[in-house]
Amino acid sequence: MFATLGRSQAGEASAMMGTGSALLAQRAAALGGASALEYLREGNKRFVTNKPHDAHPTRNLDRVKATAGGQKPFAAFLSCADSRVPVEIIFDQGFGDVFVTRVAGNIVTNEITASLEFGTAVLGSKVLMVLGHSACGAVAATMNGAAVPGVISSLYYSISPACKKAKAGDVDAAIAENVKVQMEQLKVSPVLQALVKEGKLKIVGGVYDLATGKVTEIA
Amino acid sequence: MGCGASVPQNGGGGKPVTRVQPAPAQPVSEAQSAISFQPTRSNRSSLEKINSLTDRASPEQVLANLLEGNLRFLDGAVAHPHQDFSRVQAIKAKQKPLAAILGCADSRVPAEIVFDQGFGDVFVCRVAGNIATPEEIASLEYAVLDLGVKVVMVLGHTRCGAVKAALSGKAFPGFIDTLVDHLDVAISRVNSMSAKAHQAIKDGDVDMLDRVVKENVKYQVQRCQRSTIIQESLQSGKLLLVGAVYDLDTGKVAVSVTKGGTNDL
Repeated sequence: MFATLGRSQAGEASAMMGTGSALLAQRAAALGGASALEYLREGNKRFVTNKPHDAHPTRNLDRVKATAGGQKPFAAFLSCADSRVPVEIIFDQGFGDVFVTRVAGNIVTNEITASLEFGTAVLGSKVLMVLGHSACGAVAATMNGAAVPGVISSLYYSISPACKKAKAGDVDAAIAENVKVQMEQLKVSPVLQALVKEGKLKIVGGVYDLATGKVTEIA
Repeated sequence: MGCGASVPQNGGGGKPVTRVQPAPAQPVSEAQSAISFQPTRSNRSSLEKINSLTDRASPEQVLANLLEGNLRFLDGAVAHPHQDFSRVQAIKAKQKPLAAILGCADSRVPAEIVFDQGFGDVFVCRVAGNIATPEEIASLEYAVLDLGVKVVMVLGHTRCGAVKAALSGKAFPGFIDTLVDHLDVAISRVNSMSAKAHQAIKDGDVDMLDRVVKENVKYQVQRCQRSTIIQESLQSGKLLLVGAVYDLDTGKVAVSVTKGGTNDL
């Protein structure tokens, strides 16, 4: 489906897919709110269909310097810490684009909610996506229910409601259910609720497929 | 040079760029391992070197690999390792990252890009202020115990908004105060270091913000150390626990604290 391109091929592909400045213009529009989710979707599509990374307008040192003064992410995430789900790469984003919280099982905790309130109310993200993924070890372990050392089982508190709703052993169903449960948990925050009510924020859920790279949104 | 079988030596192919410095005199004394790992700007093909890093690598090699990735990014010579589809396919069944990072949710610090890593390379926890909450520690423990990571890095960054908010002393709506609780420890530590520091904090001094960022990284590393799983792994030499700060202006990562590793045995 995609392979790393050499620099000359990157030039061609870049001409086909639009120049850096076009992407940056779309990004500015996304900040306006109307198309933030659409911009994210297009990013995942570019990733799945092999967008050349070399040409990405927000992944270089220039962008580092440009955003050093302040960040204006257009989207915020609650995602899993799993090494196979690098959020910026699967949505083809770069520096200053997306505000990302990550924890095993993509669960809501007080500090995660605090972070996301900061990323939306203070920094201006227009869409907040709770992103689960296939073959999530945290969900599988919770479903399994085995005793674990350390504080690992502190994750179980947050994941077990979803496991109870899903059929025993159906990890995929539990993963999707867990995303929905965490979305509901987030809506407990009055700050996030107010943003949604005022039309300044959309809270959405998605599941990333490890095998295909595709993000499927769930209700 | 050998195929990643040993840590690159001085004069072996590139100039050493980063060396861990022992921390300046602290009010609380603690064992600081004087490990010197030397990430180098290598003449060898980057991908070749990265791919020679197997799970037999030492914790120090894994850390050097991360820091070399940061150097590649700074040089504008990213190798984009492990970002091809065959890699995505290869690891879909099981992940085997060599490093875990606890970083900030800040949109300007995307860990995989900062270290020029790809799919399956780094297990990444992120929360505002890179604080070691029970659930983040639980995530790191999972990475150490179940996934076998050899490096755990707490990664702070200059001008952290969460630290700035905590320093401001303001009251915030919603949950943001729960972050401030965690960050207050670093603030009071720096506060108590001198009357000058105390005044600088009151004045909202930017350098003081970065000083608190660094102290916070140190504190969060200490919190990680209180995990029995992480402690065991440190003691058996299988894990390196480090604290580092990412500079927003330059893109450079500087390690400030290290615990464990094979040198400590």
